[in-house]
Amino acid sequence: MTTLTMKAPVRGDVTGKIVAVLVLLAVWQIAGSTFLPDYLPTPFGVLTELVPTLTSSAFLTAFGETVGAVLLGLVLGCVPGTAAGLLIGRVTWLRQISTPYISGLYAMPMLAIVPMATIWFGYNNVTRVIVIALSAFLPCAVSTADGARSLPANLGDVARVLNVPRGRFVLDFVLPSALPFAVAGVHIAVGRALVGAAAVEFLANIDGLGTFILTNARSFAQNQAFVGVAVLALLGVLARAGTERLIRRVAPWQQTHQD
Amino acid sequence: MKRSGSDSRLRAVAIALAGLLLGLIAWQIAGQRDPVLLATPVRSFEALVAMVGDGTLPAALLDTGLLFLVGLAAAIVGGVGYGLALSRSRMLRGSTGWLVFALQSVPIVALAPLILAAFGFGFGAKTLVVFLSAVFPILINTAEGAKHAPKTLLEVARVHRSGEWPLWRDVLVPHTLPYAMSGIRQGIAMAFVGTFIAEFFLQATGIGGLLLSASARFDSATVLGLTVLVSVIAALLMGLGRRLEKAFAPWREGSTE
Repeated sequence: MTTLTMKAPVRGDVTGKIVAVLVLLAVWQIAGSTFLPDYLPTPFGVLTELVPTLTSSAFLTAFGETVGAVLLGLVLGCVPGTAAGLLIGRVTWLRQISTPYISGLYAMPMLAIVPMATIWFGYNNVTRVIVIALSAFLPCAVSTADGARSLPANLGDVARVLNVPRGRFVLDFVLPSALPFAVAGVHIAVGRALVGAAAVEFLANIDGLGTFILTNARSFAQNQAFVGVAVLALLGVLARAGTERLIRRVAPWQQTHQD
Repeated sequence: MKRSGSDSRLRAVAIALAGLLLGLIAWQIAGQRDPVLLATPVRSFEALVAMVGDGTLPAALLDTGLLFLVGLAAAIVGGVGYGLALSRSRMLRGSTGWLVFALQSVPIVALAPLILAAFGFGFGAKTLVVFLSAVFPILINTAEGAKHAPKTLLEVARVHRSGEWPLWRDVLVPHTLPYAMSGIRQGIAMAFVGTFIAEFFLQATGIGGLLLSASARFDSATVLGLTVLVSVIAALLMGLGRRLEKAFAPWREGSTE
């Protein structure tokens, strides 16, 4: 996404950026320390707490917990999601049967599923992984199905004329054209997985970055809590940058999906 | 399915309905086998009816709806306004454009405890959560759209010494509207998520509050009923958003998302 950045950065822009950051930080610092001391993180506070927080064992275990659960959930969600997307995209009756379920679930905020999930699976890591997997499954399935459907009609005709067997057809025709869509699905899934993880951790009180933020915010350690938020944001940015590069690799013509 | 007529369309709807019915039957059977974890659809429906009867569900819907609408309205005003401003001011764009992208990637869920600590759990704080959730897609799409306003038209306007106001009215706004509408469609979905963030993590009111308290009581009938209700509302909102987008941009069909 380079929509708002200029193609050739001018010197005026650089100064403008610096001024904007300085103004933002100054307003934040002054407002934080005059109106809401102890209630709002401040830039100086975050800066001084940055290294101690990042190296504290509480943070590191929370980080490991969340990242582990997100990775596991992503694998458990994206692999079946992509497979389901291929099926839904190519088999008409399957698509028609699953449409109400997929679109209902896809539209729904995954947050709203957490209360049900805690009843079914308990207040533990299983719930977290399942919610993450479900949040990852849906965008993968929807996007891959779009891709599998968008196979150009003349390619299908070519395959029929050449009498390509069904298995080869899926492998050599459908998969390549659906691939960029599948990666785009993962692109959306990563962001949703991180958010889902934090949400479950809040609601079910499972160890992780979410609870790390929550406990710190509750015990007037706003700066430490903010470090946690920033790390979550950074994880999202890095993951998205990674999938974006992957999309550009497998399909340079493809525009990345925006969530 | 462009080549299919209304005939196969009807068939698609019929199959979808059959699928839903099958799901309901499976749910009923599963619910009868394990009545504690999985309430049957009949019981869930009865739970919803009971809540309509004693007035809690309508009140909660009103609460949730109000929060959603106020937050979304604020996000539309702020997002479209700042997006247009970004497109007209090179200085603003150069200095704050990238900040928008940086801020966009902050997960609002994770911010909720900090917002709660700093601003409390009043209507203002909850609206702030909804606003923050919805504003970025609207802002970014609007700025993107304004950037796509034809250069020649802008130049012609300038040659004819058009004022700022006619320039907005005749060139910028009409060309930006379709993009802003895609932003608003995404914003509607995000505002709905934001409403639940606010209701779950700031103050347990509205539908979110009902869901939480029912979940704490292990009242699976109510939770299931409400969850299905939420998903229906969400699907309707998505449909509405897509309608809106199409109504304002018939020529951009299919190029979204």
